[in-house]
Amino acid sequence: MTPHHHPTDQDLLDYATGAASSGLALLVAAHATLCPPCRARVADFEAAGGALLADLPPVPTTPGLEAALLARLDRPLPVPPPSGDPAGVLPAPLAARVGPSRTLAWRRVVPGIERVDVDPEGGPYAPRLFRLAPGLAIPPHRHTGTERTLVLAGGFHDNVGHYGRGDVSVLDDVIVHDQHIDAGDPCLALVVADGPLRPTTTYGRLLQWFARA
Amino acid sequence: MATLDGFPLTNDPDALLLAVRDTRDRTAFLALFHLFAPRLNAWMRRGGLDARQAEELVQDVMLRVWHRAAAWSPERGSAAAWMFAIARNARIDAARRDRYPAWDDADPALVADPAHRPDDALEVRREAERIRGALADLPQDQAQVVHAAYFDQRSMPEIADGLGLAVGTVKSRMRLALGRLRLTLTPPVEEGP
Repeated sequence: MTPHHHPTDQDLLDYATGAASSGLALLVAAHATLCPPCRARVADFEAAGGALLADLPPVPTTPGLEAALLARLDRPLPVPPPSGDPAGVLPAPLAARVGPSRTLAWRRVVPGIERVDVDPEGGPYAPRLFRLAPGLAIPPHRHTGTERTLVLAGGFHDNVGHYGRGDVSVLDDVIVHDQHIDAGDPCLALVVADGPLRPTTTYGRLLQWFARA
Repeated sequence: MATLDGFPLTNDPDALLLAVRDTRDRTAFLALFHLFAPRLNAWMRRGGLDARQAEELVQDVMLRVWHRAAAWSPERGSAAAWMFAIARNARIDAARRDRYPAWDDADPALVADPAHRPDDALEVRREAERIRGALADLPQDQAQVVHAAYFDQRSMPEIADGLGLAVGTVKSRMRLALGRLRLTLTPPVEEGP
């Protein structure tokens, strides 16, 4: 099924031009794996890139380049290892970073919330995978920057709507966010933030401390 | 005979890339090299790379084109669009020392496109031509922000900084530019309930 909630058109453009941060690019590529219309939109932006490239006034390369290139044609390129998740849960761009879904090393943040760092050296706002317990309610909080969440399994609802597999929630610094995880299965989600969250309760402040520590 | 930089106009990039893909045709590959290397070089230089770095990446892009041609199909996009994406990835990979995340058609998680049709290749070609025309006709102030996004890999706030404009102004110019292209492009994906 095609997702209902998508990254912004600006996010897709930034992905296509290469202006996206590595976290945003990962989220867009993972969402696009699950969303044919967004793949088509990115392909259109890339078509514009191709047209711009083809119309650039040429800058000649040095005469030796052609021979150097030909000499390298028969040397095979290093083949990247297959990156897909055999279980089909994690989109390949994400599985390439964290491995298959069955072998994820979950760390408990607080009861009901577990986390895996996608980029352990990426700093406090690097992309993270969260596993949230069914039925969990996350207290109201607000974000200082923009936070994007891609649901990969299970689902949640908040004051905006319901989010299931493939859906992207985009929150800015205005929305007070009040999340309820669906009953049934745990919710697996990729979260890419560009600012700290601003909790509006004591429990939320504790949660923030644990989630970013 | 009419020529483009000394090469016959019959050297259509899509046909050349098909020949590279299907018959590992080195003559076709060299023709692609002559068509695109100077443009890729121009793009890399515009992005702020020096002559040596730019040529290294041009070589890197052309090697990826040779080795990964099997992954291209004309139903998905033009040769120029595919090479643009490869050049973008190569440039980011070199800067970040990491692979630019991209979807993979062999991914077990991939949701297939139900709207895909066998006659899409022709449609893709027509679209590519129309997009090229629409881009060439953009007014100067809109072309400026589109070029900054594509050539300099800048986001809206960065473009606004660079041009000394308000972010709102840059956003509205980009919206206008994309609006013109939208005549030929897939409409933006609609928010569902």
